[in-house]
Amino acid sequence: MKDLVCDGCSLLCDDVKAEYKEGELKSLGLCRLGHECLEVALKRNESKSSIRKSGKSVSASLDEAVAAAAKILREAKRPLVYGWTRSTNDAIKVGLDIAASCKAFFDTQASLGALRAFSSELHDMNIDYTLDDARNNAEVVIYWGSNPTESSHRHVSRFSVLPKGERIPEGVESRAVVVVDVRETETMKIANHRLVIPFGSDADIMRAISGELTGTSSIVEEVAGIPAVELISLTNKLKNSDSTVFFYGSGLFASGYASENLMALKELIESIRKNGRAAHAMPVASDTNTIGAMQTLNGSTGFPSAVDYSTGSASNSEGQNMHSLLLGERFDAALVVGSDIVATLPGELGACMSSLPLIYIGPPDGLTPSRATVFIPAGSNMVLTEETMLRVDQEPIQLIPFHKDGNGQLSETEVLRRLLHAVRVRD
Amino acid sequence: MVKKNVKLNPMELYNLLPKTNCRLCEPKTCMAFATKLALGDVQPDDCPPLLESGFEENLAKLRELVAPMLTAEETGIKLDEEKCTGCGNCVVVCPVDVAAEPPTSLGKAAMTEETVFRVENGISKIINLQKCRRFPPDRLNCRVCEQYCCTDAIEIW
Repeated sequence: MKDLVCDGCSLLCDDVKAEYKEGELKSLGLCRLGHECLEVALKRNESKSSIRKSGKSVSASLDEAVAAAAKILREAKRPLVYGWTRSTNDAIKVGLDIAASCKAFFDTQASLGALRAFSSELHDMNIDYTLDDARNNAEVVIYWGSNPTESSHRHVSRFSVLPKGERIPEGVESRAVVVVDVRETETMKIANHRLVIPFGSDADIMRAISGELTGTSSIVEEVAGIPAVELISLTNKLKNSDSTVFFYGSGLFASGYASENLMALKELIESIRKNGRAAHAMPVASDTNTIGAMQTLNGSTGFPSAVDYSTGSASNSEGQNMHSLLLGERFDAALVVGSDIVATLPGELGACMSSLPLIYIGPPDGLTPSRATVFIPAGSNMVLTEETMLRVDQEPIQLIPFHKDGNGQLSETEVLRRLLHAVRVRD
Repeated sequence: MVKKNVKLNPMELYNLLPKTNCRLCEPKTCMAFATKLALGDVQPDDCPPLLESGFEENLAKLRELVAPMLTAEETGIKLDEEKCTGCGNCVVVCPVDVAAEPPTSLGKAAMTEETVFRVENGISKIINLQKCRRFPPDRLNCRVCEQYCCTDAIEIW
């Protein structure tokens, strides 16, 4: 059994082992998602590059596909370079060089939601708390609009709820767990407080608790259908907890009330702190390197999203984002890396993307490879690379090459380096 | 023969405790005591304030609630692999696992063959059923794995 780092989700578990012999994978510690990601990557047949000609996709050598992709990017007046939330920081940096070379517009899938939270006043581009801090200190753990049982299987067991920590001697018995969502979730089974709230009522409930905490208002009757006694009991937990952490999810920032919810959460955290208690917030992100994509982009260009190289240097116009530009038919080609965007983007955006000359670099599964003008397969980062991603708490985690052969496929970064070279070396 | 199908609710037990967090018992807090009481790790008489005057009714009620556990003899545990996500909750909360492989108490994946549960190939497996505290010699009413299995993959009877 060899050590490896799982890139199945944003927890990047590095305490797991696996062995691959004669076509059979055995693993220890990998959750179902991680094991299946690894198994699919290892058992995938070698995939060929392809180029679409006269509407038909035909096989091509890697060199031919790279040359065709470079030609599309060089000839485009305003190409889009997009994806990246499942790519390594190293790959993202090469992608930025490509974007700069062809004066492209660069954006990541984090702009679809997580960026709203990360760039808001709640975080101001920095998460001031780690998952290890949660394990060691968090007495009250609140999942708000997130369901780790579905999205990050080991969140509860490895970090937030069940393990013992420096100030959590009894593990789960030393903590209180709160789950707030618009529906019953599996995670609610282990919660001391389960709040099923009406859609859109998050901010009202947070403000009611804030008011009770600071004494500026009192909860005397139900709020959004939640009984006063339940909310007062929760408030008392927050008053008495030395350390509280909110693990919020897309239910909070992708529900149509992002600004209001994030501001209310910030105020709630400040209210807890005014009582002399520690409180922090951290997203529960599903894509592997969502935080890394935003941080790498911000660190390299000064902007966490929507970087425009059309003038020759990185700039960012307020209000300009990939989605409005794509819908406005402002792009004439696209390079997408690592994300099956045709399948995952909202329908209208996916259709716009499909209508462009589309270069896709990534795994051969999903809809995007079949719609691409040029498809170049890339091997799994978990299998091939020793590059770095950021865990959801911004901790850098270096991957461990597990099976370097990788069915003969190159990593995303290596494919991108070849593309960068081809873009720079003009015909 | 009495089946060991005793499932006690820690909150129900907690409401019968003094709720003073006096720290005179080993679990230190009333909530932790209630959880251990539900698992059979402690008895109502292990709570010193409960033995003082004023709590006679609560003590009697608690003794009545935990009594069936003391006569339980048959048990079993089943893990539905279709429902299991390999989250490892069972590994980390199992007292036997924590004793056999201490890093699991800190959330680490089980790597040895000494634990009751181990996540293999993406799914939790019971690799040492005989070590489970529900079986002889302990015969405790421990249901902690079932209690913390979010997907209801574990069933105890």
